[in-house]
Amino acid sequence: MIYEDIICPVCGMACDDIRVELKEGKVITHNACLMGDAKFQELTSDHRIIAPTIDGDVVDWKDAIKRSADILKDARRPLIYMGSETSIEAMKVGIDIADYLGGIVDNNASMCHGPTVLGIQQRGVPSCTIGQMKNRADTVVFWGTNPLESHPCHESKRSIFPMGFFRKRGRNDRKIIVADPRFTNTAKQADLYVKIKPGYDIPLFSAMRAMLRGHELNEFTEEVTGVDVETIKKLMDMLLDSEFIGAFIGLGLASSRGKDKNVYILLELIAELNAYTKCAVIANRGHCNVAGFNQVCTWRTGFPYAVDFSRGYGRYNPGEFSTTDVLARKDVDAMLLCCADLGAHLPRKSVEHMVDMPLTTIDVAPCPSTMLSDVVLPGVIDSMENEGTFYRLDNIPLRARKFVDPPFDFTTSNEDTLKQIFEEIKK
Amino acid sequence: MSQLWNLCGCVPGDALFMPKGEFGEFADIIKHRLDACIFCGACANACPNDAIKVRRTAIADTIEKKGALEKKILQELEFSPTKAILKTYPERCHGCGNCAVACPVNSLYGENMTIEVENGSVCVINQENCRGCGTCIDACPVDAIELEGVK
Repeated sequence: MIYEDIICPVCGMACDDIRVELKEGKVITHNACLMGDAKFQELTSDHRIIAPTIDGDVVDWKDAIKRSADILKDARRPLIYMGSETSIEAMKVGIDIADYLGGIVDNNASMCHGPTVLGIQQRGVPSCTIGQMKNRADTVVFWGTNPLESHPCHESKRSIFPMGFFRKRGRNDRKIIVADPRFTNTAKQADLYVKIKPGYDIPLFSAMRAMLRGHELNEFTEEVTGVDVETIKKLMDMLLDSEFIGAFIGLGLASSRGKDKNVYILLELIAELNAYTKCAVIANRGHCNVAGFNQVCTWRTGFPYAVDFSRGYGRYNPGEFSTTDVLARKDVDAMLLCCADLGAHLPRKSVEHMVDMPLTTIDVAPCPSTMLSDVVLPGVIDSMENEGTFYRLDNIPLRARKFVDPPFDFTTSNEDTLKQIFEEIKK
Repeated sequence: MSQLWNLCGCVPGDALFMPKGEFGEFADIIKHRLDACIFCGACANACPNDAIKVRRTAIADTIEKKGALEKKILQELEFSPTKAILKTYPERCHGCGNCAVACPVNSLYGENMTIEVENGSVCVINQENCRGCGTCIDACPVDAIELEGVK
């Protein structure tokens, strides 16, 4: 059986052209990258979690739901962590649970592109869809991002090689600029590679703005920014000669020194560039539906991530209410972890508190988080075993179709699982 | 680039041709016939060396001829056996698909693909279609493709 135009639920690209072939118990994917294919192979993997467990023992589904609800009900301030590999419908229920219980709700955004969101909140962002980038951009800039590793299909489907409406010759109609401290695989394909000094993006953006305003750069520029004046001049010439600049920014900006201020200054530069040419910027969001959480959380609470309801109304303060910090400070006393493996990725101090407190995990495969959990509920792979809405990295919602059934019948989706927990909490 | 790849010769139009040799062989010279040009721009799209520019000012005069001429040319177009063999290294591949998108033969004959990403790594679907132009090799950032047997 062949299924066409399936949405891949792995990275922020949310590729919508995957062809999946189910033949003799095997999954054959077409147009999916290495990461995407690995996710599709989960459909037939032998380590899939198919039964709920409490303290490692297989139990009845209703008992597991009741125990999960009791853990959250008994807590004074629970943390509801909605991972990104699920639909926005499930995220909405997770936010409602946090609101009802007076807990904290957060997502991968707080440890990923959270500073980018802060920068955008401060300055506003001139953006467009990634399809417009494909059709219009004749200069593509990758700043602090290596899409070949993080979003492998980015270059072939959206940014460098595809034929666009105004860029009919694909790669030959585009100039590629890569700015990164390391000479990455993406940088190998660049027309201009700018080797920036780690943590010195703001001085470089400021030098570019000074050059744009007609100031001469002095000999100290290279010492401060790590980039020589000739390269900055060449970079600015390429940008100003462009008809449309498509800039993709990555965690190189959001996670290095300066954080949200890096993004703020970049957006200032782009605003000034827009006086001479057209320039739009898109954040290369790493996780599949992380943009979706920001949208849904903003719609439900007014804030994009790290929202605390302990006073009965939503409060937003990244650094105070974000997951890593509340766990490290032991500010929460129970946790519901949905579709993310925090046990493998958070700092040790945060994970230590996950071990100490009651934890419920919803996941599809065994991982460090499930090993730390009191209750493990089998997860459903949204976009394969259940339909749902996913937001691409440019904040465009895509409706994913279901093409196989889950390997169990006690729940139909992660949204259904969370609704059952919510109903039990309300009793 | 010292060699001519003759990719422009396999696009839907016989305005460009090699005086001798077959598709997939390197040519010394590529000649053109202006009277047969339908100004579709496919040769310029296919050229990996960016060597051809199509002036579109004459399109208005010849647009009426285009349909009939294109049909005739497409009927007469035939594939010739290639002398190049694509060798892939799936263990190096990230599955980015740059090769499949960059391949001019893939873009011209969409369903009859030469190279594709299958199960997360590069896979040669139809060796017969390969013209040995090397565009996929240029597009691959991890050196997962090589050409063998190119004369």
